[in-house]
Amino acid sequence: MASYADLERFYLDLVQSLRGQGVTCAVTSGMACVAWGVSPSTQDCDILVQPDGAERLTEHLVNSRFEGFAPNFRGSLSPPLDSKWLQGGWTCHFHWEDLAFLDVSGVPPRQGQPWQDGIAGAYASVTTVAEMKWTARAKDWPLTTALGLKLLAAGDSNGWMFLADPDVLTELLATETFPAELVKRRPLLELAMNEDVRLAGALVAEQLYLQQLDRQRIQIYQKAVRPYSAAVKDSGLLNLDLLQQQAIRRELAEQYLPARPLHSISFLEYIDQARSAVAAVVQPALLDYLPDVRAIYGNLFD
Amino acid sequence: METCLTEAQRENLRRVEWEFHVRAFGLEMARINFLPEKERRQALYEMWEHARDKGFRSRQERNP
Repeated sequence: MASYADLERFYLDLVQSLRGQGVTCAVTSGMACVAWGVSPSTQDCDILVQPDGAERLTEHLVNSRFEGFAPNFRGSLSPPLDSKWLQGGWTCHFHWEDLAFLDVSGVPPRQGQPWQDGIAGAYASVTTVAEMKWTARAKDWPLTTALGLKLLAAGDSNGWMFLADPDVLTELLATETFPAELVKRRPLLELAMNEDVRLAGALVAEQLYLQQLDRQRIQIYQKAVRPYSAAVKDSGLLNLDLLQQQAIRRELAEQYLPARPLHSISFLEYIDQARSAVAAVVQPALLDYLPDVRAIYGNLFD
Repeated sequence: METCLTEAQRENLRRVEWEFHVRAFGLEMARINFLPEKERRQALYEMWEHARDKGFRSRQERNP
C-alpha cells in the first residue's frame, strides 16, 4: 500500500500538471491546513479549480493512475465535472479505488476575496482556507482560530476576523490592537477591546450564526441534488468508467440538477433565516454583534 | 492589511498560539504543529500510517 507521502506527492503533482496546462488551481482544506501548520485528522485532498479548467481536469484525471488504478466518480451525489456546476458551488467527488480521494470545487462556499488572488505555492491562501473552515462542523472551529493566529503572525490583520476563542482574543488584546475598520465587518471586536462581559455570549452567537449559514447552504444543496442522485442510481452508471459517467452525468444534470441552487432563495431571506435561528438561542441584543457576511457569502447568490 | 511586527509582538503571538494549540488540539498535536514543515509532515505520515496499520480507516476509505 502506498505511503501517505506518496499520496500527497500524487495530489501535488496533479496540481502542478494542471497548472502546466494553464489551469489555475490550488490545494485547500485539510492538506492546506497541514501546510500552514494546523493539522486536522484528514488525509483526502480538496482542490479549487478555475471552473473553465473543468475540461482539462477531466482529460488529466482520465489519464491519471494511482497505484495502477484509474479514477472514477465517487457515489451518486457528484455532478459532472463541468464549469456550469462548478460555478454554482457544487463539488465533484473522485476516488482511485479506496486509495485516494479527491474533491474538486470551482467556488469556495465562502470567500471574501477571489481564491485565485492569494495562492501560495500549491495551496490556497490561509484566508481562503480559514473562510472555508467556517463550517457547520464544530471540529473545524479551532482550525479557524489557529489559522487566524497564523495570519496575525504573518502581519496580516485579517487574522482578527477568525479568532473564535475568547481567551485568545482577551490575551492578545492585552497588548495588541486591531485596525478600527475591522469592527464594521466583525462588531464583536469592540466588545473584546472594551473587555465587555458580553464577549463570550457574542462569540457563541457568532459561531451559531456562521454554522447556521453553512447548514442552510448544505440543506439547499442536499435538497437540490435528490432528483439527480436518484436518476444517477437508476441509470446504473456507477459501473462505467469516468468518461462514460461524465457524459451520462452531464445529461442527467441538465435534466435534474440546478446549477445554482442558492438562486432558489434571496440573500436577505437566507440571512434572516440564520438570524432567526440564532435569536431562538441567544439574547436578542447579541444579534447586533453578528458579523457582516455579505462579502463572503454574496458571490454564490449573484 | 500587512503590518510589520516587532520581536516582542512575535514572541507574544507565538506564546498565545502555543497555548491555544495545547488547549484546542492537545499537547502531542501542538508539538507536531510547531515542528518545521518537513518534520511536521513526516510526523503526521507516521501517525496516520500507525493508525492505518492498527486498522483505522477514514470515512472515505470505509465508504468509497
